[in-house]
Amino acid sequence: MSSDTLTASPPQGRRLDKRRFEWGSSVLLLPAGILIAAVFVYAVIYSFYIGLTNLSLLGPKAVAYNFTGAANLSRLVNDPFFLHSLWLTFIFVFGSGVVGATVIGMALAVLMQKALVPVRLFTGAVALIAFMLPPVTIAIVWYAASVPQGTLARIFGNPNSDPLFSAPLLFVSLANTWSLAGLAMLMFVAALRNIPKDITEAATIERVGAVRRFRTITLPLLKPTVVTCGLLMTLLSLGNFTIVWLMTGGGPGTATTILPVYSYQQGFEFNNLGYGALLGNVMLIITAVFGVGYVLVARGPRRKKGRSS
Amino acid sequence: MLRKSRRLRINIACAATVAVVTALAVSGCGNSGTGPGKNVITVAFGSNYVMATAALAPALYEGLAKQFEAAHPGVTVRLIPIPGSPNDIITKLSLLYRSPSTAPTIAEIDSVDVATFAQAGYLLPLNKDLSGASWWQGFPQTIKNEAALNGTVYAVNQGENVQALAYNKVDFRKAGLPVPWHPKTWQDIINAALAIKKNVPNVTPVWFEGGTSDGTEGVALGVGNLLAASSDPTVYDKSTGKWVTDSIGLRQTFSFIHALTVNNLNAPVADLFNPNATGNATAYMMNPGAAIALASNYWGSSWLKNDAPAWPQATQDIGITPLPTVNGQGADIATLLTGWDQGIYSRAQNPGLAWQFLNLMMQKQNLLTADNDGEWIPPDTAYTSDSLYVNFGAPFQTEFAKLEPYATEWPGTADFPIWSEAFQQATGALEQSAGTTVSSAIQTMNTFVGEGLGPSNAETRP
Repeated sequence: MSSDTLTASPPQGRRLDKRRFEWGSSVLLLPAGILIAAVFVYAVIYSFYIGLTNLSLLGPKAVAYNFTGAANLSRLVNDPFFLHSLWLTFIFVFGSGVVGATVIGMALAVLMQKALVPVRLFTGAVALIAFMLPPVTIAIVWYAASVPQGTLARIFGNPNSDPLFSAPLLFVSLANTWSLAGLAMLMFVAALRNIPKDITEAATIERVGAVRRFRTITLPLLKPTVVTCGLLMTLLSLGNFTIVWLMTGGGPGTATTILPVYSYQQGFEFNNLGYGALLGNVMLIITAVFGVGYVLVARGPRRKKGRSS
Repeated sequence: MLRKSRRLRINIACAATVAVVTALAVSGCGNSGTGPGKNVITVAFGSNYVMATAALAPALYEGLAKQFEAAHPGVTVRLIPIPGSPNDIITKLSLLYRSPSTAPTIAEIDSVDVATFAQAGYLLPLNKDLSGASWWQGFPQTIKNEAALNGTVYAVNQGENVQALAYNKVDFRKAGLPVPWHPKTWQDIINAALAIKKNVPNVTPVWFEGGTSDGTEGVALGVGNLLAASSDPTVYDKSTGKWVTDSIGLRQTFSFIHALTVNNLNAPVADLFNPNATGNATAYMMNPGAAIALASNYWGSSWLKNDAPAWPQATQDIGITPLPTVNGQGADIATLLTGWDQGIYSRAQNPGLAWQFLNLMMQKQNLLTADNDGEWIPPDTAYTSDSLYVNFGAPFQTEFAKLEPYATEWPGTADFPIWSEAFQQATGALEQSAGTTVSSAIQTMNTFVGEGLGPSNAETRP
């Protein structure tokens, strides 16, 4: 520090290097605040309250319901179908979202780097269309493909076989993977563009094989994207009610009763709105945990950049 | 330090804004609203499931509305069509009833769910009005009781479904089986199915729908009829207030389904568990073909009148015979009764007008039009021999109408869906895998009823 700065007159007006809060801005924040409060905060608080009541959709408790304290919670921890559906949700989300969509998305992106331009465009477009289709269409496409006389049964050589009901969780997971892989691919295409070409070129000159190049250069550099993508796929798969409901209705038996389906069944088929809301709250908490994780991971690299510069 | 306190202030300000606004939003949500007005009646109905085709229900209700508005100048009838499956219709209705501003003045409710709507306090008792209605006198007692809770009637049936066995005479002749066919016991059904499997390998021997995909409707039109035909059809024990999860009747039903699966006699699960199985069954009987089917009365008019592909040959090829009881006991005829009813909202601003609309629906011409559109049997036995009904899908209409006096119904209380789910799960597991035993199906009943209603509400009957 030089003596000049010490003797210089103190800066006039507000300092610009520190964050300040303008109280007047709360007026501008109000519309957003109202929206968040009305359609999110209120709904969440209300749903946590309903989760602790015996509110039912029909019957005597549809109007005259009351607060039942921890009754629903103790039912939850002793409910074998809840634990079963939690396990199915884990398999579905981890298998189709984290592993399936991320791996296929990455594979598509990596392979497309080397592909001919028309092939690249075509593959990219198909994967993207799959991502942009409404879940109803995805469910119908996969349902039609996986029932007897459907495309898959014919490809496997036995038109009367029943792929969907032989391995229900596998096929709803495949449908989910198929719908999400396009988004994952987009993320990886962007990430691959950021990998400096000189590193891979240097490796090529050193006669490093493609597999090793991928393992030691591409993959480590893609790591942040893998984590972000995995978390995003988790979030998108967690709330995926439509595909499963339309393809199997949670069945056969309880083979595909993932948590969103079980929550819906309790609330709207067995009339237990209170217990159904509690199951929804469990889902909300799980989603929130992953959501916070996603926000932290997504912010991480930018912060580092800010400090170093 | 300064920075931290500033950030804190920002956070507090944000939190305070959200909290204040939440409070405002919460206080604003208390408004429950009022009804549509004294001169408006709203009528809710299933728009594409209940009637044979999606065009029929709107046409029927628009016609009724026109008649009513012409007779009552100044009154408006507003229609609330509800698309979707039976489950969707009931869910939508129960949500509409949660606020007086959306609750329909008149609603079409499936009969097994009427009691639970009544328990919620949504439906108006109709005994007083009904005592003065001439058409009500023609309703058999079982149908009058169907929508009653402790003697109070909450809804009026518009049309009924009963079930019987349909069999293909061509396949039966090929298999050397007698035509006409009159099975006396369940074993006769199994024997006939085995003969079909052996001699007519290109058709499915039987169609008996179980499982969860069509909800209560699926089993009420399907394997639920077996329980009704068993030695002990009790579902809810009124004396103990408990739900039956193990009984000789359930075991007989499960053994029969198990026998179908083990011998590979039933239709593929992909078809049986299709979410539209109850609707698709009529076409399935024709192509790829089932020799014996647990059929409902709507199948006949579906083949002959309402649906494409029409199947005029059915009048010659298909025979109808009652579902026998397990060992031929009693009258040796059994079927469940399911149907659709009309109820009036308990807090309707114009109950008098609403009753007059309901009365209009029950007039002969309107009722028979609805019954033919819905492929139902008229609730009034005086109409079951009326040419308007009989000729709509003869000869099947008369065959099924004969069964109405033997029909029994399931208890429609708020807890029934839990028992029903258990029954669907148990029968679905039996149909899906030959490895499911009768005792594991009973175990499924216990698990589902025990989890949903508490183990103390499950009953084992001797």
